[in-house]
Amino acid sequence: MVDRPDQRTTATAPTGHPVGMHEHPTDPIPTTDPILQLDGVTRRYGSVVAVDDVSLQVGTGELLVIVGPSGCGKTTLLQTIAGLTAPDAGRITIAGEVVTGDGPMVPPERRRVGVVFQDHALFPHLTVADNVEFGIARDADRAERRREVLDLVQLRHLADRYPHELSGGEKQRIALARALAPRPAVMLLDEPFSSLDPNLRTALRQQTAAVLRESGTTAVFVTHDQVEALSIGDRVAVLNAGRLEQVDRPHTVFDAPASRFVASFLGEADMVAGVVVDGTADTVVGRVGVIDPELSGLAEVMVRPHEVVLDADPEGLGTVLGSEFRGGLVQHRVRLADGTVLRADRRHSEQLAAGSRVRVTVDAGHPLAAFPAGDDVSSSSPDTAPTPT
Amino acid sequence: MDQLILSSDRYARLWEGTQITLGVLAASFVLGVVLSLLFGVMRLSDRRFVRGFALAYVEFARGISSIVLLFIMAYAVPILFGLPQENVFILASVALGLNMGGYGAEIIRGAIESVPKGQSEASVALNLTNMQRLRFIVLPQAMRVILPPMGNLTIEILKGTALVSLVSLSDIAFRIDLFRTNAALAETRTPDWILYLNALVIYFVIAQIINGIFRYFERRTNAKYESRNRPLPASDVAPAGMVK
Repeated sequence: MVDRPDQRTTATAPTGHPVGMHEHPTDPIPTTDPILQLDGVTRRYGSVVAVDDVSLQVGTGELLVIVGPSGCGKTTLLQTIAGLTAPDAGRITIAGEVVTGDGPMVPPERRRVGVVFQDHALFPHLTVADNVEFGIARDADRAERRREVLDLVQLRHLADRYPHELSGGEKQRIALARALAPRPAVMLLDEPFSSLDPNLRTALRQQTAAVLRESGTTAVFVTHDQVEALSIGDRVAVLNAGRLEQVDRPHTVFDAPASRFVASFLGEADMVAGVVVDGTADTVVGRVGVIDPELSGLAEVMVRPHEVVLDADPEGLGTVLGSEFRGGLVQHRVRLADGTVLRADRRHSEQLAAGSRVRVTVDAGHPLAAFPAGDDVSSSSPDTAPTPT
Repeated sequence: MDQLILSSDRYARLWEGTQITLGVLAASFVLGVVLSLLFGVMRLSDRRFVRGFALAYVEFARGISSIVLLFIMAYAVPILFGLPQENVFILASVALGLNMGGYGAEIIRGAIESVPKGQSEASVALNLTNMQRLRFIVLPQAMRVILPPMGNLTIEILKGTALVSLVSLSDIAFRIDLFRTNAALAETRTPDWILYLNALVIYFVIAQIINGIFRYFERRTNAKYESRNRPLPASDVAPAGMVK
């Protein structure tokens, strides 16, 4: 996130606008060859709008991660792409074919999509080999393709096992192989690792991303885990209450969030009041650069805990309220002169007693995101942001 | 002890009766299974009138007394449709098969519903058609739930075949009844209870054979799900069919 080219920042940072103005977030990265395209897709359940006017494009071979809190509509969105549920409005195009929108809906079995489910959904009465071969066309060399995809997930030796004889991670990899076998145009993954323990999840997400890239598969990956989204996505789409808040590269959504919601959902974020003049903000934690050149006047600058530097100083304007030990890092809560409370992640060797005075500065290595002051949107307070589990 | 055994001549005639009983059972079983599958699947159709039609059949087949249905098939239907009454074997089997189909359809419906929805979605995502999904994914998994109650139902139908003696099909029950009326005229009469005891033993043995066949298929179906070294939780093991 440090070596981000500046031109991308200016081209893609729509920061500083009220959240409400982002009615139609547009895709800032031109996808030259979109294999999946959504235009104004909307899905309602009674009075609840689960997916609200979502438009986006996914390029060939791209791995797009849709991230959002529980109930934000991400699974519904995935199901409309798969054809498992029909949208109320909008159009979906897969590999040049309009599957939903114009004329009759193309049934799910005739769309070229593969799906990996949260609970893997392997067929318990079939062996791994039979599971994988199931989706392969009858006229193809099924055994050959089965060996190919099992090699891809490195589980060829398990071909004769039944699903109940596999571990959780193995099941999920077989489910991936099974979905890859028919060579889908688009692969959909619905929180595929949420039932696995954290260590396994970390290992498996890298393997999965590698398998998808190696096979050149276009994929839409849904998750509520922001680390998962940032670590594997070519691009990240942040969904909140059925609406897309931002679609951009992981570094950009993290460093230059388009809304307070994105800021607080993709990691911890605090806001510091300041006055912006000519791209620079004067704040209680010093003078910092802001991304949006258009912004001026009273503003709130987003500061992430890892960017906050604390120096023990009896004359300092910050007071340590308390600390939480997190292993390698300690998170301190510091009250500034104006009453703002900042979180600061420091090495656990830097001990700071509660009540001690500190000098607080910000060292981000890049301009910070800022929002006009008073632009208070209820959903975007960092304290109420859902914490991914 | 000797008194419990009938003459070999009578056993020869009972064997003929057993063949009739097994024939009726086989015919009504085949029809019953076909109807069960058909209407069990129709009960879950997306189309309302298909669901409604299936429900009407199920309620009719379960609600009507089998003996009334049997008499209608054996006596009313041939007159109404001009069928030869010699077809009473087929007509009686159809009556029992219709009856079995009503109960069987409910077994099939429940079993299909017991297969997790994710399995259907996964097979849809693998581009399977509805028929392929039913045949290769849903029914094989539903089989574990279908077999035990289907075994019970088959034994019920076996016992139901005794009713066909009332429309003059010479099955086991018919032969025994014949022995009883003839015995009244004979000099050395066999007590009724010995005759019925013999019938009971024959039905019991057939029921046990049916039971064994179903258990064999249950074991084969379950073998795939059971770990080679650790048992599944008790709830995953289907109870074996029991004899009533």
